[in-house]
Amino acid sequence: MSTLLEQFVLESQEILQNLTDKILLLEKNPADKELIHELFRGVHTLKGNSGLFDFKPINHVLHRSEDLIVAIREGHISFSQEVADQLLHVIDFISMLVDEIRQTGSLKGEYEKTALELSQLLNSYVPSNQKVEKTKKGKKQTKKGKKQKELTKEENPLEEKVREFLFDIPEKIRIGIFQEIVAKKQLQVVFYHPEEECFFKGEDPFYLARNVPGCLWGNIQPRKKKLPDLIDFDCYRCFLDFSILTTATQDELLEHFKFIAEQVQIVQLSPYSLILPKGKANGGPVYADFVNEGLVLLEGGE
Amino acid sequence: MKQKEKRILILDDAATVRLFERTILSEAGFHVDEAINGSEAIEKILLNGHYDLYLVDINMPKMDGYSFMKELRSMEIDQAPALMVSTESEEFDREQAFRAGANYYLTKPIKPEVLLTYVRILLGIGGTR
Repeated sequence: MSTLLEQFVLESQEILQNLTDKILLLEKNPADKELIHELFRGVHTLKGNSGLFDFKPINHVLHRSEDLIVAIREGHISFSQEVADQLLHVIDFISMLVDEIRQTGSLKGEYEKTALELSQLLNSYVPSNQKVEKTKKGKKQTKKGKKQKELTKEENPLEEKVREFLFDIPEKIRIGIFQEIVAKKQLQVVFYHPEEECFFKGEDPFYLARNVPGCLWGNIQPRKKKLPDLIDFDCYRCFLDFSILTTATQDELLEHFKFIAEQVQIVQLSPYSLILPKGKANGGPVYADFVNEGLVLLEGGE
Repeated sequence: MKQKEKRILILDDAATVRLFERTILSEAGFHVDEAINGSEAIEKILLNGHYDLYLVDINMPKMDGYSFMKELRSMEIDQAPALMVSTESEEFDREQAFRAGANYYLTKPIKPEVLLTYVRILLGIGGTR
């Protein structure tokens, strides 16, 4: 093992222990700003160090952990027990990987998938407005007087997002896709949110989205944020989000997005999700019941 | 002045990053010194005299990179070049880095050849090996 790697392992172990101590203290004093700042600095240093090596699973998870801590620091979310548990989970995961590096001098295990799941979980706590604005210091998005609340996964509007996306597919095409794939029972939606600075990292979001394996349908939406005034507008930033319907497996998708796995959300769907009744139902609960019952029966294969 | 006589001060609270930068710069023939934050760097300058170039991390405890730069620019006469480095999440701080007196800004992780190129350019020894 090189001297640099030895130093990395040593410093990582120290920082990880320190982070655990800070989280335990924060559980008792969740509003302690100094502790939150120290937590940020620890994760930040660890991220900077791991960036010197090709340890992508560690980098991905730390990146998202940092976003989460920034959200706490900026007052977008509170330091809750749930958040503490997730961060401790992250520390366990990274400790395990650092231990493997210590023993073998490298990272050979298959950790990308776990890292992605952890990253997505961490991401689900971060309010979407912060994901866009996180780097603009001093421009807090929380409105004055707006009651701060603890965000939980239940408030994640992912289901609604999937439904909106599917609803926008023209009915004829949607049913065509359904008929084509109903036997395969394999359907996923990918939400791809490229980083604004992606063009400076050699990424081509349009090409990547267009070439998703098994692509059935896709759309591109401008990001739901106010675009800067024309004078401040930077055309070399990406302000678009991509949604793709695909028959690819999760492994194929992870392979396709392997360098930017933390920027995608993958949602597995039943082919029956494509059946979305449209049109006026003359109103009344009877019609709604009919639609719901129909969907339940379809899902049950009857 | 020859390359080997050039003195560089690295400011970073992460020992791993310091070792990484020190190794690259020492192997290229520079004389390298380290500080774990801005205040230690100021102490070293007062003790050892000015350096030819400063490699400054932004996020450090006690005295961060910006505060160090302001302090340095207020005390120095020869305005030695400073190369600020930080992680990608702080990319928007570039403007602030320049305002604080940095001559250039690099984003971590830095490739060894990129670091050496900018160090040489800022020291006015571009093309020298």
